[in-house]
Amino acid sequence: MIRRLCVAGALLAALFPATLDAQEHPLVRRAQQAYDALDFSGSIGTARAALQQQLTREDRVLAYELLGFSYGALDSTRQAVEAFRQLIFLDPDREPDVERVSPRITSLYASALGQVLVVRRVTVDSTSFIAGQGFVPIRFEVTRASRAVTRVIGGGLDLVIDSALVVAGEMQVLWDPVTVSGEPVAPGTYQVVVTVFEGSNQFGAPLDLSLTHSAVDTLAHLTSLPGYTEQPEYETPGRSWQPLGIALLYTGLAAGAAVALENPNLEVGERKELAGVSLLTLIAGVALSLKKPDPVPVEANILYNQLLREELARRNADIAQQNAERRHQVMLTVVLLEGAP
Amino acid sequence: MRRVLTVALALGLLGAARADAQKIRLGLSGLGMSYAETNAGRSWDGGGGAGSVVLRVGRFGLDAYGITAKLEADSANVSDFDMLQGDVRASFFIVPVIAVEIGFGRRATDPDFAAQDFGLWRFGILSEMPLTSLGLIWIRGAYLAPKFEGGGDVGLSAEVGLGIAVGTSNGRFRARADYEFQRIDREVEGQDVPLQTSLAKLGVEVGF
Repeated sequence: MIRRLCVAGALLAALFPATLDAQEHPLVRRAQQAYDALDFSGSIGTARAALQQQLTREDRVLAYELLGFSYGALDSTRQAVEAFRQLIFLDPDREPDVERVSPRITSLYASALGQVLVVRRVTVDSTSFIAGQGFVPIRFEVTRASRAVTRVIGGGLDLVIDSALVVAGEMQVLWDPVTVSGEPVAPGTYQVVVTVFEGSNQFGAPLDLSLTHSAVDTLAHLTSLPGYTEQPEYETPGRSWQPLGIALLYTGLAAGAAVALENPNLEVGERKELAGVSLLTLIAGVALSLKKPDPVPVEANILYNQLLREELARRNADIAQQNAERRHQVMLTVVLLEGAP
Repeated sequence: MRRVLTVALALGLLGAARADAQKIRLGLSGLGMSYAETNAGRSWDGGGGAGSVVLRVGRFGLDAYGITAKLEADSANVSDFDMLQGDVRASFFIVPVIAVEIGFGRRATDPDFAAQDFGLWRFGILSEMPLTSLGLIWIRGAYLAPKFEGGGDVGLSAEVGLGIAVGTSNGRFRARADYEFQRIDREVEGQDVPLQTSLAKLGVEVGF
């Protein structure tokens, strides 16, 4: 019976988060005023009287907290710890503000925490991932060594995703939201319930999640490779006198050979044919040397660009293949529902 | 025959490396020419025209020329004549700018016996070098092996050539100038009767 009450209390605690600023019951307000006035005995009496009344969860939490603080202030250790235990069962995530209460009270609260078995700070980071390629991390804190069972309920699913013996401290369980057949679970609201067992004691804490489906974004094709730029395939070389040099060389060789071959017994004449063609050749050599050179291909750059384009094409082929796969995939987005811790 | 086919096949395989550069060029030229033979008293000058076909296929080349010229004697003792000459040279480029050449030529005069008619074989080297993308220069030299209709022995016989062509970068049109000098030493019955030709051509070419 007590165990069921604990579980129910914990579930209520999670479903109705503490908003203690809104307490309405006059006795709780009076107990708070007495505590603020350092009338710890008065605060204890009023808080106890309030707890006999029909209180909201928020008022009940505040009443137990005032009891714990006041007993702590009066060095009533046992009563203080007992009040804190009740407080922890009601709201496991509520802790004394170390800025406002004395270290003694903080240590009494820690002592109470070590005596009870609860699951605290159950939370899930909102996340998005492709179904089958990621997990939903569920984190929680257990106050004592126990068996922790994590279940996911919703969307026609009631699945134990983890059951393990754990020591006191922070834990993390990963939920892969796919069915046995590998399909993503249906979109909707899911409840994660972490329950801890120790002998006959157990405590459960729920957490509501929203899970939605969406299409997976496809990857944009690349137009360039980051860090790599194409090199100019043609470059204009500097002006060169090489054409004139070659013209001079060839003309000199031909003219020298022709003159050397001349037969001295024959009429040599004015050599006007040789002179005319030699002159034209040299003029052409000068003209081609003075002309701005045409751009010439740069083989190394052409090869580099070719490799770059091949790599780009290969990567785009990979992207196209990935996009084809992505069009069949589902993006899952998990968000904590409002009101969850 | 089988040897010829084998050699042709081998040369064809070697030529495949330049197979992308085949080009045929047709040209027309005007020419000026000096010719002398036998002794200092027998010389002619004149001009005429020439047509040419130049083919480059891979490593192979073929140059063919037809020349006609009207030559006027420099002295009154000899008569004028017309000359017809044809030359064919086949080349094989052993490196991009050097080729070996083999060819033949034939020269005829009109009227007959106004000057020496002959045919010849030539074996030589051609060097062709591009001058930027717009021009090409070449030089050639060859040993000549002439055969005269009137007989006689042949001594030193050689020719030298120089040429340049300048035109559009795509090679479609070119202006072309080239020079050829030819010396043939001939001896007939112990008498030297040499021949010497100097020829300049200036013309245009169209490439396809």
